Amino acid sequence: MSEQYILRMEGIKKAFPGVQALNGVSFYLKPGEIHALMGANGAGKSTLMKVLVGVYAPDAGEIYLNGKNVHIRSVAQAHAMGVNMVFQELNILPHLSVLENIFLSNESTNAGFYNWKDMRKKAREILDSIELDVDLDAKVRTLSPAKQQMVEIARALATDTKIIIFDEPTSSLTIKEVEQLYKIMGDLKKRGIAMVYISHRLEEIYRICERLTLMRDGEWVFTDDIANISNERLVSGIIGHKAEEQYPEHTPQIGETIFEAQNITSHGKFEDVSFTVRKGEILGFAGLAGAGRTEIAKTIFGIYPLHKGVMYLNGKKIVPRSPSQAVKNGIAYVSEDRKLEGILPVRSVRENAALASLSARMRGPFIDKKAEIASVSKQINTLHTKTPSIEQQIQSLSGGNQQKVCLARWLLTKPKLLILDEPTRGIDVGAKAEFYDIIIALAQQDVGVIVISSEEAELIGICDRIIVMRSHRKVGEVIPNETPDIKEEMVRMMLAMDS
Amino acid sequence: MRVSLGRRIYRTYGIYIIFGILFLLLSLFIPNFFTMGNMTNIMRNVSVYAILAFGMTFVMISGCIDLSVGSVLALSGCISAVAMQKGAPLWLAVALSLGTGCVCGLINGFCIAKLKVPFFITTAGMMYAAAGLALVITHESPINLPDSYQIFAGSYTIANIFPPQFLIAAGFFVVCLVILTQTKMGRYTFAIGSNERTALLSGVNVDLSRILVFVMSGFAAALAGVIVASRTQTGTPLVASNGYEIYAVAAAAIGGTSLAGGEGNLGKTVVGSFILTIIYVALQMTNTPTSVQKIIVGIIMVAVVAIDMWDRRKQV
Repeated sequence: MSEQYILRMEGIKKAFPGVQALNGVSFYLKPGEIHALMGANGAGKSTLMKVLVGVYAPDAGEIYLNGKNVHIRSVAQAHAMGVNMVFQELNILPHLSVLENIFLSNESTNAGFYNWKDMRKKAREILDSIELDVDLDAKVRTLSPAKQQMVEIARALATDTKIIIFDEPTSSLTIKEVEQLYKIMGDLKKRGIAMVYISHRLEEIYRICERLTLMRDGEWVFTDDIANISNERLVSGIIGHKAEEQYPEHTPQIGETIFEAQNITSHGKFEDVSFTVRKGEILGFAGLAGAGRTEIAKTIFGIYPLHKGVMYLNGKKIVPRSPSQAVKNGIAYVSEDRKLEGILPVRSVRENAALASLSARMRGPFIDKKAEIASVSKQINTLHTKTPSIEQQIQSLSGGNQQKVCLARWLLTKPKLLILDEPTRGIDVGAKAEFYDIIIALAQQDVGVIVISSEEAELIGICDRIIVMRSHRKVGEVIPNETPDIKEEMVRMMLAMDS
Repeated sequence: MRVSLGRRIYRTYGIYIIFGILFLLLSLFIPNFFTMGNMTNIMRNVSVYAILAFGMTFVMISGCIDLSVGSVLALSGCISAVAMQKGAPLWLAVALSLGTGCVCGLINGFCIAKLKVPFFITTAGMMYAAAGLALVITHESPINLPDSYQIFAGSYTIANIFPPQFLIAAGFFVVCLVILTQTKMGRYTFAIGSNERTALLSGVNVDLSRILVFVMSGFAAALAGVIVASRTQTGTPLVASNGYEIYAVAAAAIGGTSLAGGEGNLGKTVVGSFILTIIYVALQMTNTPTSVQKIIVGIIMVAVVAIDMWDRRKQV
């Protein structure tokens, strides 16, 4: 049977703890095509491709390469089958040379010894074919990000590659370098190599891709020729029409300004952003991954340097140089990455909750343990945290309850400004609803609240104003209950479509 | 997560039970082991190990290891000896010794926290440098200490049973325990060892906490050095190569202090120190050659940590 598709992925399912990342996704790829893969953050694009290259094993589903059913269990196996991925986070070994990287795990050998002469010749040919002019013996870390990426492509070409997956390849490239990448992709296409192109940049997609597959919440939405896809169809596809979740009603009592940022810039992270947070108000930040939202939060919190602009808290100018200084100023930041930045895994709920506010409960040089137990218990109960006792190790709690302990840590500092970065990520629906109530209650207690979220519905449901970010800049501001077709408007702003 | 009763008992009391059984066996099988005189002997021996292990417990809870304590111990004794030779009064000699230990710890902490040199390299560097400095200031030979210096670890006893250094160790234990469990410094030590990033993002001054932990360890090493010098009545530079740092790590590890950081218990470090000491004393009483002693201590150290790791694996 002649096969129209070089690759068929059918009914792929993959679950991670607490989230169904892929729910029966099918994906078809034709030889020699450039196929765009699109979807909002967390739609499952990268996960699907990582299943294809053997990083993740699927829970269910079949993969056919050239009509043959295959089970790809490792990246090495994927390479051997001609499937390569140029990762978002570069995947080369920085301390090895260009040559060594190109032939990594694919070395040409002669009786067990490396045949360097042969490899050199082949490498030169490959590099010439993609017009990359680098010294084969240069350490890869000395190259620019663009050239490092080219080395990755060269590595793919060193094997008999059939499929190359590009995961946001242009995010770190200059315009000139992007053009060069397109040229190479055009050449590869002529050789019959199929390419998957994961990107948020519509302009690029319309220019180089033939077909597009859209994903949403781990599901396939549609696959079609680019020519048949209108902006409207894309926007409604990205948003979807899932049942609206219930968000608590609230009427904000908006008071004076608590926090103000004027034209703040942290080079390479975000540029020239201004906004205010007022008493009793919840301010949302929307945008795609890498738009600069978390970076703004971390700059306010003293982790990243502030290069330009000024910030005021309660009318007083602040220059946070470290998180400890930010904490003293009354700023609280609940990280998006609970495991990496949020918890002390082997310590108790009590110690985790008390960590940021120890100074408030000292008796001379000593910690007042009675006061600590009392205030932690009270805060934990107020947030309805489920734990056998406050002496329980935090890592044995569920994600939602861990998150409540992290929040308790900050509420115990009585913050003036509370920044919540993806506060409901990886939390089940019931716990989410509880969090919304908590956040709204906080705003009513005169705390300035900033919520960063990748779920537009969540922002619209609980925020009073939403700032939309794209490519390190503020591109607009929308107001729930006022802005018409707010969801569509936000997606348009994020993707830079003209409305 | 269900944990069987047996394992829970093992986790909480295991080390005490092991110590109890070991003590009982040695008392039964080694003549003169369970005597008043030998108890004093054990207390004399345990003091130095325990003091070093208390400092090491702080360091290990914070997620590091301090390889320099053996050398700092030697340097401390030599500083006292040189100072008194030059006519310094007793209090000044001791203060100089302890101060030197703190400075060594400060340098260790600064290199690790601020210059980001890995702790292994930093403390190994200090191990060499302090040992070398001890040789330089003593002109490479032991210097005798006057009798007045014996007050810290002379052959006399208090209340007919306690050697003076044991009371010093006990006092230092109380200080360490209070710092570790009742102060911000203690809480931050656990925090940076459990997850440095979380600690930083919770407003903890991570660098300062790291430095203080190493100062603590340097002070402990210097205090132990004063006791060793007092007991031998000399400042001996070659004490640096006695492998004290390994005993300190072993005592803390046997006491269940996690090498991964974030967990540890000073009470159990005491028991760990006692376990090492009674084995050492028993081997001496049975005239076991030093070479064999080393083999046995090595095996015990690895075995105990292996059991601990096995238990942790089961936990997940």
